[in-house]
Amino acid sequence: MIKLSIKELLNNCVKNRLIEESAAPLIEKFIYEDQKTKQLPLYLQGIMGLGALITSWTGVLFLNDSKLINFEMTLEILLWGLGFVLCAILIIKKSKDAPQGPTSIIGVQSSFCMILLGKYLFTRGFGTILTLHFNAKLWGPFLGLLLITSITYPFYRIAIERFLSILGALVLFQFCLLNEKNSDLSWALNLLFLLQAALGGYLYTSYKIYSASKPIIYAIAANLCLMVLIARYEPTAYDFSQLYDLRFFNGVLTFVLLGSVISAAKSFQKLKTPPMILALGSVIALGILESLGIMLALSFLILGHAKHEKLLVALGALFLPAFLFSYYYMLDLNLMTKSGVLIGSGLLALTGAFYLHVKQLNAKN
Amino acid sequence: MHQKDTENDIANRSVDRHAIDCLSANHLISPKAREHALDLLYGDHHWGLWAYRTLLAIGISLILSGVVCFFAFNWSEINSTLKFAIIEFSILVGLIGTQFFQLNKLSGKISLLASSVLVGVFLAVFGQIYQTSTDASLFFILWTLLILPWVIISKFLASWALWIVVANLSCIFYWLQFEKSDVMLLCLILLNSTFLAFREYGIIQKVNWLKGQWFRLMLLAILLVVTQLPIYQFIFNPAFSDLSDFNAILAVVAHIGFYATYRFKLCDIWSLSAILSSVCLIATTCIGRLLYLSFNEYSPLFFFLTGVSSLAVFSTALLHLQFIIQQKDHRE
Repeated sequence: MIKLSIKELLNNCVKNRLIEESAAPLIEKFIYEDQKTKQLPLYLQGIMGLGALITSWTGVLFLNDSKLINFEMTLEILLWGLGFVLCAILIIKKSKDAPQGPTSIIGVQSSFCMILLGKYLFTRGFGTILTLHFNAKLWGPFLGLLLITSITYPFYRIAIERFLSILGALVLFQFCLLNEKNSDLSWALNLLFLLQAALGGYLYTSYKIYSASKPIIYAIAANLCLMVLIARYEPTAYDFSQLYDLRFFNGVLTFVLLGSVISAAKSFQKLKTPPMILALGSVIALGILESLGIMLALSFLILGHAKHEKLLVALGALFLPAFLFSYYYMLDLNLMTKSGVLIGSGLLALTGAFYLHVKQLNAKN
Repeated sequence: MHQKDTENDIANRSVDRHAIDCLSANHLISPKAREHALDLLYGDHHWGLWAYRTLLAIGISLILSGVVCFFAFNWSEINSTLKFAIIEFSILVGLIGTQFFQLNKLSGKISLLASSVLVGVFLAVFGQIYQTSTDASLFFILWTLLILPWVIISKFLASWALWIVVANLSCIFYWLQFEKSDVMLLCLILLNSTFLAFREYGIIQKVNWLKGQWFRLMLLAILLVVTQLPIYQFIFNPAFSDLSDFNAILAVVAHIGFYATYRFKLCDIWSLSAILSSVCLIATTCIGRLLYLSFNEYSPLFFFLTGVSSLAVFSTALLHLQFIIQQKDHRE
């Protein structure tokens, strides 16, 4: 990333007639105000999250051992959970979201611990009540977490907490469906997959809410990876393949990858160039070959690179080797044929690289 | 005067991605201006170069996997001469590729990396055919030594990453056969510290190919893991052996050294965050252990005090890190 001052950026945009000269002071002021309230950097949130996990876990053990809370009384746990969540929101409001000094940073850290503790207690209490009254099994904790996360999302703006809560709710929902062990519920998993892909794509491309919805986007991305991984690996205990409709997932992911390539092209004219036609053809070939995970990881790589989202690129780079391995490992071929397929596809990829080299498309502009 | 200073101060502040996204979300700039601003901040996409590198990496990985699958299938049917001939031919193809593409290009460096991986395959096949009954450590030591010249001339971080992993495995397997985990940890600390020190010296000397931040983080992650182990051993089982105590002291000194380097010399916030996370985990464990020894049981008070101390430790680390960030911003 290049260091660029506000002045330099505005001068450049004015020069390129992208903003009015008269709007520059307003923008300058906005950026200055924004820097006062911006989110904590990822590394600070990481340390904060690690500390909060340890503290909240010892908090649960303390409450359990000291008998301050009767864990048999479900309503009591639920109310304690709500109390902790409320305290967490109040503390973070007092700390004004952006920690600037010792009081506020201790406030934010304490609040983070409290919200984790509160959410755990609320989810446990809510889940137990639903299980007792409606035999809801895993649905109780899922609905509890969903409810409390929906309530806290607008007020509690620590990105890593939002990400963990949403990912937790999505994973629980998936396991609720799997736990039913009913192949008639396959449509629900398909719908979940489709809705996640559509919502993730919408939020990622929306300029208005993109920044505020990053935790949702990353939670969806992580859960999509998890769904594809579970769908590809069939555990011996229960055959999940009855529930996962791989063809449907494949169709959705083909469209996701096609959309990623098209959005990266930016204009219709560029889509008609030979490299783009080749790229689109390769996407369709990947779709025909039912390489779900590879398409998902490539989508992350393309979308991340297009929007300079390094974290999404890292997610794609992390999952691409795993999905490549899983794809070839699961191929129903003997090792000799598999070896041929691997070498053949490797040569195909190298031919693509060679084509870019020959056409001198691999040079920096 | 003061008003003018503040205005200048605002205008000279550096802009980041979050600010540009917020400007766009609040309709202060158009989507086109947003794209332009991001391009200014991050540079051009260079899609062609990106696709070329991705295809090259995927292609080489798939071909190497294919070679491995071929051997797995035909293991018993291929005679020894053919087995060696195929691997040696593949190594040769890699070397010819390196010569053809030249080492100053990515394709040449990847070809040499592929040959380095195939040397490992060759040694594994050699060990199995001749039933040399050598232990795993000798296999890794030989691999480390044989590919070292190629790794040095390649000036390629991925090759160095492979070499460091193989060198670490050599060290682990060598000392584990004598059941000397203390010596193993000492060697791992010294080995990886040396690599990191060379890397940072190279950066100070402005050696461009060493620049990848991932490489520093990889080395630091390995080092933080291997330096944490002797400290935990000291916390839970002090006076296990003289060497383990020495390792613990060395690990503490190493943590201080890393901190001083990335705080004062190189000022890298990501590395400092990793070091401080490690320090926080060690401090929390140490306090927890001391509390357990005082109460002699896992009482409610033990959990309460451990929780409070972890809150204090992590908050202090966060405050300190924030102070460093502010100091760095002020300097810049």
